Amino acid sequence: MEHVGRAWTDDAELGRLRLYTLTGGRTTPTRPLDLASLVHANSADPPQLDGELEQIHVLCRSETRSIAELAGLLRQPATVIKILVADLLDLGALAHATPSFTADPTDIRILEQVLAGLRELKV
Amino acid sequence: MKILIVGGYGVGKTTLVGAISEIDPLTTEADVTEASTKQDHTVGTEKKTTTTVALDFGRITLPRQGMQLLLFGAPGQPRFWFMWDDLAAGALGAVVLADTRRLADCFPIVEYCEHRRLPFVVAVNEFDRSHRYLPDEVHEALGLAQSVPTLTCDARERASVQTVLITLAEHALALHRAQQSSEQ
Repeated sequence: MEHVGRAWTDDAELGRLRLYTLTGGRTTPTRPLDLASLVHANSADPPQLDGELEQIHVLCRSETRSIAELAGLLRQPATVIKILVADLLDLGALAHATPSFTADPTDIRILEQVLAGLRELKV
Repeated sequence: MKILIVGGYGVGKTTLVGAISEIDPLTTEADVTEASTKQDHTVGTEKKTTTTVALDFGRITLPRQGMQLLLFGAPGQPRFWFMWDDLAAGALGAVVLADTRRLADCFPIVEYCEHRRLPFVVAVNEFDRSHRYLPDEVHEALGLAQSVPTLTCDARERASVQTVLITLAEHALALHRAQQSSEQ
């Protein structure tokens, strides 16, 4: 497991204050994102990024990550992560992974793929 | 694609997620806005409050299919109902994790899944030293529809959790196939 961000300590309040600055006090992201939205880093060189924005970008360079996973790894509320990820998507530093989070759970072909994949998992 | 693991406190949701997840299970804080039912007496307007709910999170990559299954362990108490709509959107289905010592904990979430037509299975987590009930007995006690799979599991065992998830995927597939053929 990656060790990123700071531990959930007394500094948490200070951290949240800083994040308030980072998000500019916004409470909604610039585009709709879900806990299950998957993103990865674009291959092109990213713009200069700092703090959590850079951490998110680094995490998404090695693997495709969901909003939920980034929130857990960075120990920040999902709402904050959504705002930051939306900013990174706007900057072109991140891209939506395919298949997107909108994969229809009632689509028979997708369900067949999930079932096949679960059966292939090694114990 | 999301899969929900729902159950009462201490039933083993975190354990189950950890048994199958390829990453160490994480805690994700999801902020949910709910319209408060309390009135603000001074101005008489309804206030919105934000509640933070801690979810267990884990993932399974299906490499050949190029998919990530995202597991969300969520509390099943009725006071968290406002959150379930968000979680259930785009979810394949739910595993209702049951403890036979507190079977009543399952009623609200079972009711919710039925109402919402979210495919679900009931997995009875077998705790050491607890009385073993047969899946049929649990099925009957919960008043489940014939088609809802009920099985026992050991939330600590990866193979057992894999069986639970396969059962859920099979059930979801059967339901949607039946629905599709009835529409044709």
